[in-house]
Amino acid sequence: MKVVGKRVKRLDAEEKVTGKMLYPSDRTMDGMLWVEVVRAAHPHARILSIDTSRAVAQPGVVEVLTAEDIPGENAFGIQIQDMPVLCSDRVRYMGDALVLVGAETRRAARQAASDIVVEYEVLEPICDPEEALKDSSVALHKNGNIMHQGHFLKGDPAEGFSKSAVVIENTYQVPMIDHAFLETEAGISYYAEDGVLTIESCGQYVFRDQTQVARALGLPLDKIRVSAPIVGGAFGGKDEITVQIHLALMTYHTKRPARMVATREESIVAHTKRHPAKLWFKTGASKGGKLMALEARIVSDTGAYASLGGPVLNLMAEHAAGPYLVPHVKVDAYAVYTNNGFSGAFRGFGCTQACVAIESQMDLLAKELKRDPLAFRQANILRQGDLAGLGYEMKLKVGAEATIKAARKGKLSRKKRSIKNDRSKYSASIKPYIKRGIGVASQMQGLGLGIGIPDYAEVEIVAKPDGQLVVKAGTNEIGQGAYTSYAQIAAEVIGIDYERVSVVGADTSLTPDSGTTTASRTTYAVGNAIIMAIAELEKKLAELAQQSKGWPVEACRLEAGMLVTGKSKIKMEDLVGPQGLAARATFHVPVQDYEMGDGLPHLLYSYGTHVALVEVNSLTGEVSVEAVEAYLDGGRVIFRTGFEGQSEGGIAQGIGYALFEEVLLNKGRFENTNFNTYILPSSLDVPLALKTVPVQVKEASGPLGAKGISETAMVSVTPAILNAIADAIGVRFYRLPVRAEDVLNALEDKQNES
Amino acid sequence: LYAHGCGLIVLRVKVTLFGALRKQAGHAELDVELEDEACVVDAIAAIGLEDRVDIWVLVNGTRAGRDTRLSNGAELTFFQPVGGG
Repeated sequence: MKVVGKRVKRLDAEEKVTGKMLYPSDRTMDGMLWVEVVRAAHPHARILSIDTSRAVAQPGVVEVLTAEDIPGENAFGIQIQDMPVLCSDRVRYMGDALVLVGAETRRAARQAASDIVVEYEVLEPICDPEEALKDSSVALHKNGNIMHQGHFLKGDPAEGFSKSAVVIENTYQVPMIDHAFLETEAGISYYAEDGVLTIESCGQYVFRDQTQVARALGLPLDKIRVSAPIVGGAFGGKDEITVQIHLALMTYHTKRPARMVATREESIVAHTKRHPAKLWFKTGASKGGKLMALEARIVSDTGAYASLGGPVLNLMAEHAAGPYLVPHVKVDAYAVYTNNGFSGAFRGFGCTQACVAIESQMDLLAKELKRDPLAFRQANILRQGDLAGLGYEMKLKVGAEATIKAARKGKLSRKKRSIKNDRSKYSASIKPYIKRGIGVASQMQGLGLGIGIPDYAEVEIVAKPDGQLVVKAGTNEIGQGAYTSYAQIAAEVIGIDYERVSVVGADTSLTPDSGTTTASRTTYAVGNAIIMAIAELEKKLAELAQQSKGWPVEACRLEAGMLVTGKSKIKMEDLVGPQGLAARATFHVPVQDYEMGDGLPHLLYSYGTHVALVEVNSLTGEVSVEAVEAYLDGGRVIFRTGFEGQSEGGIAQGIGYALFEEVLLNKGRFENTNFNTYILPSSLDVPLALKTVPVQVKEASGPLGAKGISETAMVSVTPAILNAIADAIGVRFYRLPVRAEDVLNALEDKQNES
Repeated sequence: LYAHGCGLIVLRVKVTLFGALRKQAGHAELDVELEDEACVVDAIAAIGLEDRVDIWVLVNGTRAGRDTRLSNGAELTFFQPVGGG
């Protein structure tokens, strides 16, 4: 490989580091209005009246919009349209929007927004998902509070537990967390010269956003254009509609450009989060160290609206057994409406929550059975042809064991084996109150949308007369470096310099529909479509050569940017003519042959094992992550620097989930709405000793053997840290995040017990 | 042979439906007979679905607009853009 797998310069590196690149929040236009949103004052209330008269009269105010001003459907949501664009009768969480104010300045818009008087009948918020599940609970939606449920059974768990020498049963609680992208939700809207209402915004799927805007405005798709090629971070948090419909409404009514940039506080309150969940897990293993049974009950709090709560729950269930062969499995899973914000897609998409539970259980079983944690995992690992947790066959190569084998050879694992349980060796060179521990965790992560939803990527390739090649793909660049991977794949397959390839992305009027920028799918799906489009381009070039030179089409091939037949060759650019030559192709992500639920199950997975070294200060309770090793199977690595960047960012995010991050809610009200109180790991909390090892189990269906890595990079980091803490101090935590005070309290309890 | 209207049937297409559309149409798969020069919008009507912007259609695996002309034997996929991750 000449380009693939190399540390090429990112396509967008120069523009980003010089500040030339304009993100959605940077966009301005002459004559634009600032849009402010009036949001709910209570997490659960009936709206009795909305008085906008004072706001309308304010200087600088151009438009004030309520639900009555929505020309189409006052509803949105990726899966279920249960969320009002603007509420008119009831609010269900603190982020619910009621009124839009458009004004000449942001200050005027804010002032007017504060002048709007809403009269409420305050209702008791439903904050406990277990209470919400009860028939006696007030229903937040017409079909009740159970937004989605899944019940899965493989084998006979009772028999499995009866044959188990060790049975471990615990309940894990994982918090609501924020995506904490650098750029808050933002965008600009305007009428283009052709009369098309254009929205340039953040997002993760411009074609679906276009549909959601069109539905709310009652317009046909060709009257709406959505563009979002460059986004300042997303992690799933911009998968759902954020500002797009509100912007479009303001421009629709005023015919003027409109701009929105969410404050951090607004971003945290209003938009989707990672689902908090309670996971009860019971696992059993035989004396010989074989997993026998798993039973799980999962209650996921989807908050006020569905968004992707159903598929997220399905993936929690799908990944409950981790990458392990468990003969008997029962999973009961519920996604429940409450008044606790609202949750949706987030890197890991349900696997993250499940991984915390199953990987903690795996460590506990290994300890009871006196097995090495990695050896125990390897002894139970899923292999190709095995039946996964929910009973479907793993039909493709399974890279899980390869990641464990690689981890076992790593520095941290060798260190752990060498010191065995002699803790004095752990801490020989450090202060006596510092306790060291090493933890491991493995995972699998479904790639793509799973079965039941067409999952495709259409791509256009244009060979230009100046010798450049343009890849047009409808996915977004959300910081992950996917466009660079696309250029590498195209350059490698055609055999030209990487510098000759550029990418046009995520614009409903400029690019084909390449599907969502989610689910670790873009390199795999778009990469395959690029290769198919290049084959189509080769065919078209051969046809041109036949017309102009009489070359036989079937004997022509594309090599090093030249069309070649026998000893004759011609540059692409000399064939394509002044307009260039375009070729399109659509790739469909393969799926399993039977369906168990929305997107459930997957056929393709990425795999990973993380090993973490922590130091616990037994005087302060502070946990410091000193080193992390990541052994990741995303198939062949395309963009090496991007792969490592994903891994290191994933580790930082996994540290945050383990030790720091939690959106605090008090009866539905947000208590920490900025980064002074919502604590993220800083550079000081992320160790310098980060090692990323690509475990490249080539996927035959992947582009040049690639799969995806963006979620795998994060998911098993958190349980590896939890397991390392348990290794360090002999205390296990079942609730995230593990804060210093939790550690101190636990150490005190342990001391009192002893 | 006559199609749903009164024109001569010259097109037969295969339609596969996903998600809620499957329930609305009452079929997962069905063969639809259409008149000559039929487009995607005609196939939507022939199935009896209300045409909405959130019904997406693939023709032979590729996203198609309402005015995309259909050919005999075309494979149509009807779905709503509900996927994410």
